[in-house]
Amino acid sequence: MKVIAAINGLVSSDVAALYALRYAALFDHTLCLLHVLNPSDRREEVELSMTEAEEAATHYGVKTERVFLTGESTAAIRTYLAAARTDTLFCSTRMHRRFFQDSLSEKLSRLSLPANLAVVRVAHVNAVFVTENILLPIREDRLSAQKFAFFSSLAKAFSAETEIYSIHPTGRRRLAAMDTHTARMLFQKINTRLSHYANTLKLLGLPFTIKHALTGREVDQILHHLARHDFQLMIIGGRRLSQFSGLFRENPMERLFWHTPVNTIAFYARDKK
Amino acid sequence: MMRLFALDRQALFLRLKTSETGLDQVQVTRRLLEFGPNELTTAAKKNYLLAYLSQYSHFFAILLEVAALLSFVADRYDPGQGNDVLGYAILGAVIINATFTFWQEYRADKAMEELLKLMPTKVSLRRDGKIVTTTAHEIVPGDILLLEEGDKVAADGILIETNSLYLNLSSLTGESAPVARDLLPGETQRSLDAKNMVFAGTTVLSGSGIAVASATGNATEFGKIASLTKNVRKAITPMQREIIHITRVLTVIALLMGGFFFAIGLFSGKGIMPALIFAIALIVANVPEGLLPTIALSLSLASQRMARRNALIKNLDSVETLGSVTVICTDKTGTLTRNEMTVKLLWLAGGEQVAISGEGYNEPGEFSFSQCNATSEDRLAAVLMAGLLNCRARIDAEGLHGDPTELALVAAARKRGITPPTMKKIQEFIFTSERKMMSSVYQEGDRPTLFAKGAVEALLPRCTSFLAEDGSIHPLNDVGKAAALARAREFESQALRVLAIARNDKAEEEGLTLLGLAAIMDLPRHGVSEAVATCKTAGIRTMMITGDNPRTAAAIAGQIGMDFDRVITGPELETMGDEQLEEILAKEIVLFARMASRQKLRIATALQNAGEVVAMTGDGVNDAPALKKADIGIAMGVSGSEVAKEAADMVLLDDNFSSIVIAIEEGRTVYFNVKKFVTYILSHNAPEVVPYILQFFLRIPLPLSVIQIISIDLGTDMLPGLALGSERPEKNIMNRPPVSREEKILDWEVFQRGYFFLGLVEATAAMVAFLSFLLLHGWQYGTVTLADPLLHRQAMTMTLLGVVSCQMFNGWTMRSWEFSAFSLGIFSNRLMLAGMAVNLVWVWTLLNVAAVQKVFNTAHVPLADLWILLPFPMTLFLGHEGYKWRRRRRNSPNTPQPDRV
Repeated sequence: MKVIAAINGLVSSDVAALYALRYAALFDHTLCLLHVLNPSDRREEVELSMTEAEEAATHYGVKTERVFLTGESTAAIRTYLAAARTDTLFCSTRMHRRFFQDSLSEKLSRLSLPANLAVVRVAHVNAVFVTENILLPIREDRLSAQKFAFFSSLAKAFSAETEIYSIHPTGRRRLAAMDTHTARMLFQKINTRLSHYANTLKLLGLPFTIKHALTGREVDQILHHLARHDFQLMIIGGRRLSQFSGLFRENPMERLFWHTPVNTIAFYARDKK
Repeated sequence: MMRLFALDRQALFLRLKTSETGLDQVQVTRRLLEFGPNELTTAAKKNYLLAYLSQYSHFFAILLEVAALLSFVADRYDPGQGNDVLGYAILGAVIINATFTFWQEYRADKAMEELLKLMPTKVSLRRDGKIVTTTAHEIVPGDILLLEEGDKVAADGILIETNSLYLNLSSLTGESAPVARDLLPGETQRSLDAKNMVFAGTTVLSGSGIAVASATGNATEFGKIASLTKNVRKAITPMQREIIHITRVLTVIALLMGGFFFAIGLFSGKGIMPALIFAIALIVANVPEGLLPTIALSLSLASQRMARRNALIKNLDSVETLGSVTVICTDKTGTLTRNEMTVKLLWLAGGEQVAISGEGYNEPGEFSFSQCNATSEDRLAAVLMAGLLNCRARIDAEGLHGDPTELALVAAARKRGITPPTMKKIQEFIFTSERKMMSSVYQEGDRPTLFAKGAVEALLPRCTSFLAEDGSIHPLNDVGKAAALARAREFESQALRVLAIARNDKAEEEGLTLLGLAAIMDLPRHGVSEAVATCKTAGIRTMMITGDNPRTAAAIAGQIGMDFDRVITGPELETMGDEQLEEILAKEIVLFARMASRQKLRIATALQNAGEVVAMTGDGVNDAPALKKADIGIAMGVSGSEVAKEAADMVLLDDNFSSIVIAIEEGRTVYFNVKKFVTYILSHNAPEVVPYILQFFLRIPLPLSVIQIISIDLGTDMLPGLALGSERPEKNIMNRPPVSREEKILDWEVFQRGYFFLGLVEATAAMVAFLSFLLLHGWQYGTVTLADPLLHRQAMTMTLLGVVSCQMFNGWTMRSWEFSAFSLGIFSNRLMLAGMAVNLVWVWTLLNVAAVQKVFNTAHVPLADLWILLPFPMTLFLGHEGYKWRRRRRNSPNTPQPDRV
């Protein structure tokens, strides 16, 4: 199996490659350094980034390979993924018109791919070297097995402490009417539903906590939580959005990517079909 | 793995892909795309599509949409009566109104963005080997930051060079004491504790340094804190509450009137469709379509006028809150005074007093001794030299550098022609608010000399000797100290700030020799006395809050004519209960002296609890909570910290108290402009409603069609309405009391003037024009359906012209709430002139263009018949001018008032 890191010579793609490397090292996968050639390339920077990633891979004993594709980027990557057995594609994102929007990572996230996709937003270049606490915000108990597997794998790769942050969306009126007992019962119910994940983390020997929040504004709550605690990485579940999803409301992922004070990975599970 | 701050220089450059020479322009451009601009943004972006769509969902829009729907329903059941055209016309009105309101709000937003760009933070960077100055939001990770004394740090970074660098980290830690920076991080795992890091939002107190930017924007430590404070739900403003009130009242009137006449029509046997159309007409006639765009325009223009006069409003809704301000709590230094210190008097420890002339830092001055002997000159030189050597400020060809108090000492030494000797500074004990003193150690050969300066009460206890009149050093006993202290108190009572100056032959701050006292004056700003007097006449209480001692504060208050009933000091405030403080503040004007910044919050809270609308000034980081709490937080644009500017509603670009008064004037103007506009639009409601009511009860043809009503509301009245919203402040606006929170725009006087006075005149004009025209052309009373449709359209045109002509004159006379229209000048409101011109063109079009006539049911009226219209606009104009004259006379202080019972 391969773990692919899309390299474009930018600082953030180097950081994304390092996340890919740690993930590949955990499973003993081959790290594939992929670049789609285009006329505006700074080829020497891409080559330099690949060399740096290869040097780092040597340190972790991970095999690497370089792949250069041609043609329209999304189509070329899709074709390559279909042909190669790939676990996860790591791809950094950058601001185009707005963060995430109209970037390659956004285009990839709209496609159904035969591999997991991890879109990396880099806030701190160095955080990948000192990842000690990883946050996984979820809505209530909605945590897919794939997302959990990715989260726990990265946590294991970095030997990091983990926190699952369960957010229960609620209106102001409901929140005002809620008493302590009802809130406790609600949290207990979510804890019970998440218990098998908790047990898995225990088996993996990863320290973990589950925290809860009741809020009407999920993105603000997550940003608030990040500001108050010392996390180096946040993993969020990506949703395949339509072209018009941001028309009436700001895309929550775009907002998180824009405002996050820590490195953030949006995870898109592979298309089962 | 090592944290970024623990890496050595080369590893750091490698990790951030940068070098000592900095990034090149291509790298900067690419990193700006990767990491985004260096700015703090946590609030969700405004979705303009949603904002536009929301224009269709407020009360008035829904009312009109329902009216349009009913018209289509009527057309379905009774086709051929033109109800579908009416439906489309009403929908058109809704669209025009929504688009216009949205456009005004959009322009106001954009104007605000432009205004906020007036206060950028400039930074020095090294890029591509060259030093460049750019705006803070262009910094990217990997940039080389060049930090100098007084700079605001714009991004988190790791130091690679430092020279006695001290930072104020209070924006992150709350502790304002200077924190030394080093090239080594120390034993820590947290970046906040690393001594080799600088942080965005902090300021360089002294020294210099070079750092590599490691994080920008929201990723900085300051960005995290900002996200904690920004997610606060905003409360509804008084103006928004007013708009809701006006909307509800007028909607209820429209619905009641529509429902009432629909019911009467139905029961009187007119049939369901005519009754329905009649109800629709009354609803449309009562909706003030131009209200929302006028308010948006009025607020936007006021904020732009304020910016031109150095008061930068950050939030449009704050403009109208300014109009309600009843108390201004203001700092002294830099706001009431110039913050341009001048040494006015020197007291030599030997007993002589020396007066120094010349204000400011660059003016020459003369020294006059009260008495002198052979050693006086030398002792004076010793005091001035000690002051000159023991400070970081300097005056050179590039300008002034450093703290104003130190600049005053440098300027005094320059006046005497004293230049620093070639001595090497080897150590500095920095100034802190706890120590209230600073000292510098110089070395000449092997001999160290310490020069000290500071607050008298801090320095005097450390003095054991003094430089006596014979030029030798004598022991300083308690009597001598008491004499020095008494002299210091005397200076303070003259609004002078006093510094004690001493020296020592050892590098110690104990056992000092007192050289003398320097009495420094901060002169009041120009125009402040007038602004304080204006506040008095405007019914606004002005209270000074200062860290200075009570005597200096009282002396300055006396100089600028600021009255006060009592002085409360910081320690006294600590012992005072909240209720007691509120009781005092409700009745008295207080001068607060020796105050700490944190105590401002308590004062703001107490004033608000006492029912006051508080404007509070501030510049420091610790002022931020009080600025947030106050109804209007005012930050200083020049001397203010970024945190204070962030917390404030308004920023003074010139730090001047007078600008606050100007802003309050604009706030009041907005309130009265909206009041004028509401009265103006209520005036046309009456002539739009009355013809329908008369047609209902009398046997006459329909005087005015619904589409003609829309042509008045959205055609002829729109521009003059907007012009009223942009009217300049009236000349007595600051002689009126503050706008009370309970006061409503739509009060009884507005109803009275709009509906029952001006409205009735206009309704009479419309009906007289209509009926006179018909009678002159052979119509007999009782003929409801005219045989000649042209005659009916001509008569309806006369009704329309009756309303439009009156409204044109109404627009002019309504420009002032109290003063004569003749006193305002014809060209002082160009939008009004444009509105009048457009109206005349529109009237001509209605009379002469066939296509327009077809849509609006109008027809050409011979010039010979238009004389009927002449008396009414003049009557309205003169009548309203008379009304205002009577109002002026009633409110005049010379007019005898009846005794209160």
